Amino acid sequence: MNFAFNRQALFTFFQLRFFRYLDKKHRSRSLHRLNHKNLFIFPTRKGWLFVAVNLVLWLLGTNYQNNLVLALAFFMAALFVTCILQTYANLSRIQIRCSGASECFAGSSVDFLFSFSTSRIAAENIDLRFKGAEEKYAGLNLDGDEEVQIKIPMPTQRRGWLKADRLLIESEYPLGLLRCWTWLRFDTEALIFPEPFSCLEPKAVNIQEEGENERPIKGGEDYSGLHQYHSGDSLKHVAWKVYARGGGMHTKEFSQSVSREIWLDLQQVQGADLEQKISGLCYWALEYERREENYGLNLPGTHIPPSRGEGHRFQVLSALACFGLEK
Amino acid sequence: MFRAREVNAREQLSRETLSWILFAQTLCLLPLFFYLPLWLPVFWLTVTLWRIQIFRGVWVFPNNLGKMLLAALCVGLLLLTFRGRLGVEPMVSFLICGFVLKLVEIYKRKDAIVLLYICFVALGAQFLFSQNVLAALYVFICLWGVIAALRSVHISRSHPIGKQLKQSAILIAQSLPLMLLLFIVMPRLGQLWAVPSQQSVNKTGFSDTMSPGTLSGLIKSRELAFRVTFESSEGETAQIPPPRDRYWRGLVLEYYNGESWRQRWLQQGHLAGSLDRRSATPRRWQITESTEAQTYRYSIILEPHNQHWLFAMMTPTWLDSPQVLGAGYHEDKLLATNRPVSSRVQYKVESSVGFKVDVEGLSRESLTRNLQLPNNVNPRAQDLVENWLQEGLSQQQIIDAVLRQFNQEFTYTLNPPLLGANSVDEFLFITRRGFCEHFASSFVYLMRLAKIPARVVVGYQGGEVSTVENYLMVRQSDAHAWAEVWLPGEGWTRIDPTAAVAPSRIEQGLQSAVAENEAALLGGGIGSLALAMHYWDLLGYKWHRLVLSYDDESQRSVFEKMFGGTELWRLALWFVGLTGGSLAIIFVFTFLGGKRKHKHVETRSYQIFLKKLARNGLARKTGETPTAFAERAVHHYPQWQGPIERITRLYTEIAYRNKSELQTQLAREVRQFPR
Repeated sequence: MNFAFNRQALFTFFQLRFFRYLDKKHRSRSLHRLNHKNLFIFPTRKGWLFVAVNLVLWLLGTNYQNNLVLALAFFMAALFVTCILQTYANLSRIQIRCSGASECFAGSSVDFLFSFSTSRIAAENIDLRFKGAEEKYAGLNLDGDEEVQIKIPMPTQRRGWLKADRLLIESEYPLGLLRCWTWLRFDTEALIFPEPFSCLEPKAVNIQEEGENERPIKGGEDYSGLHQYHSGDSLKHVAWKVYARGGGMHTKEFSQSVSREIWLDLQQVQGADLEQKISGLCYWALEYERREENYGLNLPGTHIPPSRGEGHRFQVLSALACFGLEK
Repeated sequence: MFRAREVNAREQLSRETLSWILFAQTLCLLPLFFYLPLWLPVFWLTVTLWRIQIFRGVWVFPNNLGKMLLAALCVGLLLLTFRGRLGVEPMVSFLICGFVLKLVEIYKRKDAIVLLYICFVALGAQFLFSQNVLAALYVFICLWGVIAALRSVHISRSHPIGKQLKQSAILIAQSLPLMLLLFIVMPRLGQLWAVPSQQSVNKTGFSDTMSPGTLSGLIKSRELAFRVTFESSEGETAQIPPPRDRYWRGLVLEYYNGESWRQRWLQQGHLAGSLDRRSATPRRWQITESTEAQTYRYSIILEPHNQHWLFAMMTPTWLDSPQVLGAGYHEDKLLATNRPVSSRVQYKVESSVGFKVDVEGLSRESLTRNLQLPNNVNPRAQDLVENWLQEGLSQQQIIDAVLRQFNQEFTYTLNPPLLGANSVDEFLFITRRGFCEHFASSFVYLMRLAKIPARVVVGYQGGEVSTVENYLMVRQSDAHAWAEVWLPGEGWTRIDPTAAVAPSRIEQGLQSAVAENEAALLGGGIGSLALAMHYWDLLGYKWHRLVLSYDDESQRSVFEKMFGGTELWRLALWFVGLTGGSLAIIFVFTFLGGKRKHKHVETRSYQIFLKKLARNGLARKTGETPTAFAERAVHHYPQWQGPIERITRLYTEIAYRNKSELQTQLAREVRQFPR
C-alpha cells in the first residue's frame, strides 16, 4: 500500500467534501447577502505566527514574573479576539448581485459582472476570484452609500453556456490575523462563443437561386452600372434618381453581389472535427463582420439569413456557440 | 468600473505603509537605547537611512554577501560589548540587531509583518527595563502605532492619518475589556525556568561599606527607597509606628579598619549558605518574647537596589516573600536574599518591637567580631575610655556618658569637616561636627574600647506618611546609621547616638534637624508642588500595588470578592454563566436584530404622520397608496388639507424620485403636524 500522502490530493479530497456540504446548505442564487450562515473564518499563517509571538511574550512575562509583559501578552490575545469580530464584520452585511457576463470567446476569460454594496459604513480590502481562476480581483473597497460594479474574470475552455463557478470572497482586514471567506454560487450563465480559428475561406458563396431575388437585402454591394428596365426586374433596383431626372426607367446592375450571398455552412468549412469547423465558421463570421459584408448561417437545424450588424452577429455567434450542445 | 489590479503591485510596500512601519519601529526602539550599548542607535540610524534611500531609489538592497557581512558585524559588536555574557541586555540587543537588519530586507508585505511582530517583542523588552506608569503609557502609545502600521499593510486604499489612528484606536478600545479580564483571571504560574537576570539596574542606596561621607551623599536624593503599607489587624485601623520606632535595618557592619566599616560576609556564597529560608518564621534565632511588644504586619515595596539585603524593623518574626527569590533570615537578625534585588519587589513582614534577641549570650566568634578594633589609632579616645573604666563606670553609665557628651558638645550637620588618619580622635576632640555616620562610628568605637560588644547598623530611619494615602514613603534621604550594643540581660539593644545630638532628626525627619540654610540641600518643596508630588507618588504606589504586584493571592481575593469563593465549581459556574450569557446576548442581537427591517428615513417620518392621524381616528388601509390616503384624509379633515398634502407630496418625491434633500423638510412638516 502506498502511504505517502499527496498533499494536493488530500486537499482536493477535503475541498470536495466541503463543497458538497456547502451545496447542501446553500442554493445558488442571483443575490447573496453575507452573514453568519455563509461566512467562514480561520486564522491565517500570519495569525498563527502572531499567536506564537503572543506565547513567547507570555513565557517572558511568566519567567520574569513581569505583570506588564503579561499584560502585553493578554492584550495581544484580546486583539486577536477583536480581530475575529472585525474581520467577520468587514464582510458581513455585504450584498452581492450577479448581473450578467461579458462577451467572451472560448479560451479567454469571461468577465462576470457583479454589483457589491454593504449596509455598513465601509468594507475594506476584499479579494474576489472564481474557483480555479488564477486571476483575481484584488482589494475591493466598499462604502456604505454606494453600489460598486465590478468584473471578475473566470477562465473558459469550451463554447456553450457556462455557469458561473463558485465565487470566493475573502478578506484579511484589519490586521491579517484571520481570513474570513465564503464560497458563493450564482445562478448566472455566460454564453461562451467558439474560439475563432483561422482557416481557408469556406466555399460559402451560394449562387442566388431563381425566385429568391425579392428577398430584401440590406446594405449595398458594388455598383457596376445601369441597364434598360425590363418588366420583371425588381422595383427595388430601379434607379429612381435617373427616372426622376426624366432619364427613363433603368435598373441598377451589381457586378457580383446581387447574384451572390455568403452563407456560412458547416458542410463547406474545412476542419478536422466539429469543434474545429465551428471555430472556423466563427472566425469567418467575425471576418465578414469586419469587412462589413452580409453573411448567413446554415447549420443543421438552424438557418439564419444573411445580414450583418451587432444583433445579427450575436445571433450567429450564439447559434454557433450552442450548436450540438444540450441546453 | 474597475479592473483587476496587478497582484504584484499589491505585494509591494507602499510609501505610506513603509512610513508607518518606520514610525512604529522608531517608537518601539527609542526607550530601549537607554539601556543598551551606544553603538546600537548608530547602527539603527544607518540602516533606517539606508532603507529610506532604497525607497527613494538612490541605493539598492544589499545582496546576500552584504547581508551576511552586516549580520557578522552585529554579532562581532555584540560579542565585543558583552564578552559572551548571557543576560537580558545581550538578549535584547541581539533581538534589536535582527529587528533593525530586517529593515533592509523588507520589500514585500509578508516581511513587513514579521518586522511588526518583532515590535511587540521589543515592547515586551521595554517592560523588562522599566515598569512605571510612564513606561506603560509609552508602550500603550507604541502599541497604537504598531497596530496602525499593521493595519496599513492590510488595507488596499490609502487612509488619511487621522482615520488610520482612529480605526486603530477602535481596535484597541475593543480589545481592552478582554485584556483586563484576562489580566485579572488568568492564573499566574511561577517561574518556569531560570532566566538570565538583568545586570545594569541603577544602583541606588548604600553599599556594604560605610565611611564618612557615604550617607551624607545619599541624603540629597529624594529618590524612593521603599514604601511600607501597614496592615490592620482584625477590627482595627492600620497602625503606623511612631517615628522613633521606624528603624529599617538594612545591614550590620562589624568590621572596622580605622577608616570604614564593612560587613563581615563579603562573599555572596557565604551569605547564601547562611540564610535560613526554610520557614516563614526564623528558627535559628534566639528570641525572647515579651508581652509588652507591639507587633506590626506590613508589606514593603522595595525599589531595585541590586543588593542582597531587605529592610525590616527589629525583630522580624514572619516573612512572606514569593516575589523575592531566595529570601531568608540572616544570623544578624536581618532579612536578606541570595540574589540581588534587580526589579521592584514586594514582601510582607511581621515585626515585634520589644522582643529581645540573643539574651543568652553571644558565640565566641560573634563576640570577637563585635569587639574588633584596629591597632594603634585614636590614642585620645583610648585614654578617655580607660579613664572611665578606671573610674569604675558600669556599661550603662559609659553609654550614658557618651550620649550626654554628644548631646552637649556636638553639632549635627550635613557638611561635616574632613577627617584625617585618627578619625575618631579628630571627630571626638577637635571638629565635633558630624553626620549620623560619624556619631554611629565613633560611638561603636568607644563601646568596643570599653569592651562592650557593639556594631554599626545601616538602614533607613523614619519615612514620610503620605498625605493622600495611608502608607509610608521611605526615601534615600532617610538613610541612617546607628549602633547596637549587646548588654547582658537585654541582648542586642539599639542605641542611636544621632538621637542624642539632634532628637528632631528622629522625631521629625532630616529636614527639621538641620539648619535652615542646609535644608535647601535636601530639596523637596513645600506646598502645592509637594502635594502634586505626593499624588504622583500615590499613583506610582497604586500602580505597583494594583498592577505590578498582582499575583495569585490578589487574584484569590478578587475572586472571593467577585464570586464569593475560590472553589473550582464556583469559578466554573461563573465561567459557564458569563460565557453563556454573553453568547445569548449575541444570539439575540444577531437573530432578532437581523429580522428588523431596515427603514428609510422618509418612511419613518411618514409613519409618524400616519400614527398621528390614526390617533385622531383615521387609519390607512392596507394597500392604500399615499395619494389615495391623502385624498381620504383631506375629506375627513379639511382643516389640515395644507399639511396633509404637503407631507404626502414630499414623501412621494423622496420615495419615488429620490429627492433626499427634502428629508429635513418632511421631518419638520411631520413634527409640526397637529396630533
